[in-house]
Amino acid sequence: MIEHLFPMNGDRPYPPRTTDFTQTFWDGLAERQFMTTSCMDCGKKTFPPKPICPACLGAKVEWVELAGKGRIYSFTIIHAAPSIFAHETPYAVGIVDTLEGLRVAARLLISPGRLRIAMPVSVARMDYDDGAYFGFVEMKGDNAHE
Amino acid sequence: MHEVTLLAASAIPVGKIQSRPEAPTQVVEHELLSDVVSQALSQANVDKALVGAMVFSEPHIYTRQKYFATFMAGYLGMKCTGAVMEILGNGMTGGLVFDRAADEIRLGRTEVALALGVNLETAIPATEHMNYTIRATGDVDFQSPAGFTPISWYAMDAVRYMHETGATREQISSVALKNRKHAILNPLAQFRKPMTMEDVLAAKPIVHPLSLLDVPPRSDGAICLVLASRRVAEQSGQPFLVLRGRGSYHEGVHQIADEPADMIAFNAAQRAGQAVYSDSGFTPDKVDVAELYAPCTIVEILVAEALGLLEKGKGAAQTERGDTTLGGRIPINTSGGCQSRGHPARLTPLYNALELHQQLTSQAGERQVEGARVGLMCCELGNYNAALTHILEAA
Repeated sequence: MIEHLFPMNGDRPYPPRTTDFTQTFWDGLAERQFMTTSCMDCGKKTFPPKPICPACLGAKVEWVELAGKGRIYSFTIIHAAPSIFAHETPYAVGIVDTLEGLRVAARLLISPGRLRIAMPVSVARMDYDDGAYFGFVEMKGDNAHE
Repeated sequence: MHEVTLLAASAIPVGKIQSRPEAPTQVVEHELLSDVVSQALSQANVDKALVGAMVFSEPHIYTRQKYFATFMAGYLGMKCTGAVMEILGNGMTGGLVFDRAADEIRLGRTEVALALGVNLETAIPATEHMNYTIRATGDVDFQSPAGFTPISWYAMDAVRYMHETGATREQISSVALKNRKHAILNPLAQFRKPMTMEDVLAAKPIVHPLSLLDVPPRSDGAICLVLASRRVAEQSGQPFLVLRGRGSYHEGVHQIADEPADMIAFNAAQRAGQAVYSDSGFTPDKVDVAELYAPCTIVEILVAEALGLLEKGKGAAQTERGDTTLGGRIPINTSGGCQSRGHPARLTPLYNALELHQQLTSQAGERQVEGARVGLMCCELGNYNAALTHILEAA
């Protein structure tokens, strides 16, 4: 369950495509679930979700929900952005290692001054006018995992 | 297998060359490159009729003439028994061009092969160019929509490196100062005015912690290398280099692994380094000069560490104390590197080969590394997810 809904201004600057396969991910996001695929043969989870397993190339995968929690492995703040993102600058992006042992690259919805490596973060749904995307927010207090 | 030599290298100075669309007269791709080809063949003292292969870097989408390789074969009247083709592979493009041209000679398809290209992009503003390049350095559906720019991945390398090693921003940026010192001595370099650490720190922030002077400028260029069999090289009477070894590795990752891993180990560069050392019989301590594809300051440190030229985790401090400066233990990027020589992205590895040619044939003028005989070059894809290495030695 995605706890945090993060309002964004305007449309998504670079909207992702939806396929018959990834529809499950985007539908899940709309319903506050952060999902990916897990291989039914070897058990490997992967992100982004894929119709084949990158570990064993097995074609039987199942959708699983992720806790959406992890820690920042690294980050940066983008001051010089492509023109389509210019109105959002400066913005932070980063690499998050999740509790499930996945590495995810995403927007960090955290003020630049607070960013630090190993900060506990939690997935958030970014609500643009034309649809949703995903990012991470800082986890604070009792919710911060070990 | 035939031995491969690098016999000649000619290029225009790196800089802003591309015409704006409204300019009444235009600088065009084929005229720029023809000139450079003519100079390179003259320098090589090789007859045009001997050229049997031409491997081009694919021009940017902003270049009007398409099917550029076959167009140029016609424009220059080149009859070839080997490949006439264009190659595209992000930052590795120029390296793959060199590699493929070398293969044409190695396989005996020709005795002379050209590795060449034009890179014209500076009339397109960076903010527009990035709308296109974000598609090359991330998953366009699951990463690019977050706003990652090509160099943002390197910036995250820098943040992680500082966290793990305690290196300072100034130590990382000492790469830019060192490269500027070198560029001042290189007539082909884009930026040749003296620069201080204050300049770097005061420059516009681009991707934290990197400023405008830590990251590559926008650059145009045109270059032609002449690769030849040993027989042709010896007959030319010109000084030349012998290709001693080659290595490559793709770690099966695009930008970041999908599970936790040491992102700043640059393990593709490590593996490609081990491969080129093993293939050539040289060890890192035998390398006299290295030209490393490193768009940002931090990248030069990490790839030099991965290749065993600098000590793991100490590369920034070693750069700051002068190990990689001209006159230091292992001079790196005597051309001025991407930050100051300039970064015509699809040609950068070819410009690096040109620098090795000048250094190892003792034609580098004021920036000559004394007695240099062995040179290493390395280029990459993504966030050094793949690397391609070559070692050249003076004949």
